Amino acid sequence: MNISFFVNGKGIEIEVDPLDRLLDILRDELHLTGTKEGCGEGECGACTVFMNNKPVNSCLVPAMHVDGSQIVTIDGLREFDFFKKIQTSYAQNGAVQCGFCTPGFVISTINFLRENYKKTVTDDEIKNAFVGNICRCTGFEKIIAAIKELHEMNLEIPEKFYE
Amino acid sequence: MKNISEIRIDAASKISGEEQYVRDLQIDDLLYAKTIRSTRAHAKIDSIHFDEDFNWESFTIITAKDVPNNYVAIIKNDMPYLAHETVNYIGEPIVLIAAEKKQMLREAEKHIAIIYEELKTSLTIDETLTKDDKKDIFAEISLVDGDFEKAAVDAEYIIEETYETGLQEHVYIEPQCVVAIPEDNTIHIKGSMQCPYYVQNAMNELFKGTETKVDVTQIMTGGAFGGKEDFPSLICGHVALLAQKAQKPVMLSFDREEDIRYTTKRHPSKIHMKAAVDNDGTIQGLNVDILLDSGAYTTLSPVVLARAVLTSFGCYRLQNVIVRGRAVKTNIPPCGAFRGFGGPQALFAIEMLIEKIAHSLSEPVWDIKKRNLLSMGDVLPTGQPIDYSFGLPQCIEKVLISSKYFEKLKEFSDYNKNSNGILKGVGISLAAHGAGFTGVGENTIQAIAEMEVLTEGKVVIKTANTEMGQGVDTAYKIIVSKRLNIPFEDIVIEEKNTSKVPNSGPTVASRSTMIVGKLLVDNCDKILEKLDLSAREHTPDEFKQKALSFVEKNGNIVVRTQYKHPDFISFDEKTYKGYGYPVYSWSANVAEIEIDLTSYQVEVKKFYTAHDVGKTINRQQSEGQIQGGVLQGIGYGIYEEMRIKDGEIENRGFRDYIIPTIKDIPKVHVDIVEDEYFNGPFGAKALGELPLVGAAPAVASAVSFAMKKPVKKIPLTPEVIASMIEEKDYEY
Repeated sequence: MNISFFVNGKGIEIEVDPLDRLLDILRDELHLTGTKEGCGEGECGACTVFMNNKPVNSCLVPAMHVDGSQIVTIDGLREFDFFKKIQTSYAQNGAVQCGFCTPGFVISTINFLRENYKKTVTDDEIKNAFVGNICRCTGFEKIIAAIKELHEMNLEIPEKFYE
Repeated sequence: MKNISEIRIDAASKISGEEQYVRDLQIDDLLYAKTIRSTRAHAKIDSIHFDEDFNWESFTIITAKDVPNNYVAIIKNDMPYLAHETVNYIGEPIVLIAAEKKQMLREAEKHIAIIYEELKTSLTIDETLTKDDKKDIFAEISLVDGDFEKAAVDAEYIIEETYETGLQEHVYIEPQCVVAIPEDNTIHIKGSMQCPYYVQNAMNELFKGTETKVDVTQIMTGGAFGGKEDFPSLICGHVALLAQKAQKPVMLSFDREEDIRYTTKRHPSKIHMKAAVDNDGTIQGLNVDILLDSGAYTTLSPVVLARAVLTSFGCYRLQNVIVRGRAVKTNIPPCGAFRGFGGPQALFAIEMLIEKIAHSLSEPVWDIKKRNLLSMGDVLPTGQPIDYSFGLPQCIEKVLISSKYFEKLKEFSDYNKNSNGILKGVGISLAAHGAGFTGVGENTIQAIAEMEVLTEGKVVIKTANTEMGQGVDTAYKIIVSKRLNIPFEDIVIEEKNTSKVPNSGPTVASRSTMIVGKLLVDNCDKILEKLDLSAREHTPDEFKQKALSFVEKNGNIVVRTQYKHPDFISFDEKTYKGYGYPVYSWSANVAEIEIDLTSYQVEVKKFYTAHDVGKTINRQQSEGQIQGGVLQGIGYGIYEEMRIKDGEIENRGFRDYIIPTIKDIPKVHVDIVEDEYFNGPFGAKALGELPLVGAAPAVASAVSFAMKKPVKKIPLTPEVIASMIEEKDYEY
């Protein structure tokens, strides 16, 4: 089937098998390799991308559902000012080790900051928001420190990244 | 440099997703590979059938008969790249196929049939030992110190128990992935791996006697934990064979299910410990029998066993010791390296035995630990004196204060008297981890590190030590920046390619900072001497000026240093006497847990640890390593269970192999003690593995306290907790 959708603001038309995974379309067809595959079953969150402004595990999204959607990946977020603040905070807090889970964590962080803008959050609420992202290196502590720091900065995240 | 940054040099590119892992490389004409595996745990391969009606034209196929030297060179060379006459475990590779599209491979697999003739299997240590066949013992070690039998006769009590630990999967988030790219008669291998020279040596053996040459490049590795130490040699051989035949690049990239079921794991163990104990709790003798389940092939089992033997002393002053260790063959997937490397199994056993001694004598656990505690000037059962870099006492002091251990004992004991539904526990463990290779392994490796000063004044670090998340690249830059007094921007880390960097040894055994980092310090001193800056009072600009003018006149400065242990460090592999390790790192750990008496789930609420690492090179990343290692150790202690049925690993992915998530983490309090090691860079010794080693015993100690019952095996899943509650077997 032919599908058309937007990736990082750019219109794409592509022929796919209806059961192809969004993750493979992004990585293999469009060479957007910032999104990683860790488990292929929606458990680890390394492949998290925005689909219609909501975070999804791109390994669980079949091509037929991608038609007509707005996809934003880590590759399309690098130039935003808020992203640079996230990058600095993750780096300064030591929240990165092997880095393979990190792009997925960053997408979840952006979503968390947008949903909790100027709201008070508890530690449990932070943990609940990241339960779909698995890291095996850091023990999560330094990731949580970065997320807290960013939350306190009241970063404004746009409702939509691309028109 | 005064203010050296601790921020990882690879942080920014990893956060933005721009860092390139193997699967991110764009390679033209790439073929994908698939492994056709044994469905039998032990069988003769009668025949392999390729469906004649299927069009095989667009496939590259390799079977055992295409492999020039069909063994993965490692210790015993007993594991083939592809099974030839027999298979020894479910999942053993038999046929390799490669094609342009992954879908083609899935289709082709259906048209390959393997006919087996079943052989008798041996799926557990006990089954193998019953057969009583010497061939099934991959390695045996024995150590004797003093006279255990006499001590046993003289002692007031004999206290003994058998302890068991299970398989553990590494769960690096990046699954195994390697690619081979042919160019004339050279094959370039790029892969996610810890040890490019292990792979290089294996490839040299594989293609020995042929025209084929190989070079190996490590690509940024998304976690490893030992799982990419020995295993990549096997799959690099697979892609190399396919690429050579197809004359096209070939990639083998595992999905999670394949990775969980068919890659190496931590060795399961069965350890019997028997102590001769005095009235006051002093251990007068210890008899240890260690059995490790190696799985189908030897891999690294002899050295894993060596570390298990040398860790079984724990942190205690012992005399009259017998340790017998055996690594046993079974028909399960081969076990291999995993952070801690035999240490976690042995430390769990000795720490639980101490718990049992305490309980048997109705004494507090800490009193028994303290009574038998190793102290400065003591001698290990190997004959090694503990007379330098011994920070254990400070670790203990710090963790007892931070955790308020003694107050918690009372508080939780009172709580449990009136509790219905929740039991609280607090436990303590002490851990030692031998730094670097066992014995005089380093003298065999003879690691070389090189540095080069280029025309533009930049300094290049050339080692084979790989970045897999542990922060080695940043640590090396910090070491060189500090010693040469130059900024990070002027330091370059050379690509980990075997044709560009010398063999500085594998990235394992917590050795990279201590051994290779020290070689870098020595290289820096050689550079400074050449530049007449030995006083080290220069500014970064003065270094640059001197370097530029020197290089302009004399060409690039190239310095190399080769590692050798100080002369007094020797070890006899026959008697296991001498220096088991050049130095040890130490930790003291306290865990607070709760057990839900409805679900039988154990939850770790708080964890306190103090680590003596000699000297921290990067404090932030050291803390990160400790936090991550502790959590992996907690997983080992209570969550991570691999189930094997009829020789087949039943776990398929993250849904049924449970590792700790962000919701399962306790608050981890980290203290770092710096009791410097004279032969490490700025005093640094081992760090990478130790955090995992002490975690599970601390948790098990806390569970034992809460339940007033002995812990005999890990992981402490709800099923185990239920049987602890119900079974008589779990009385002290």
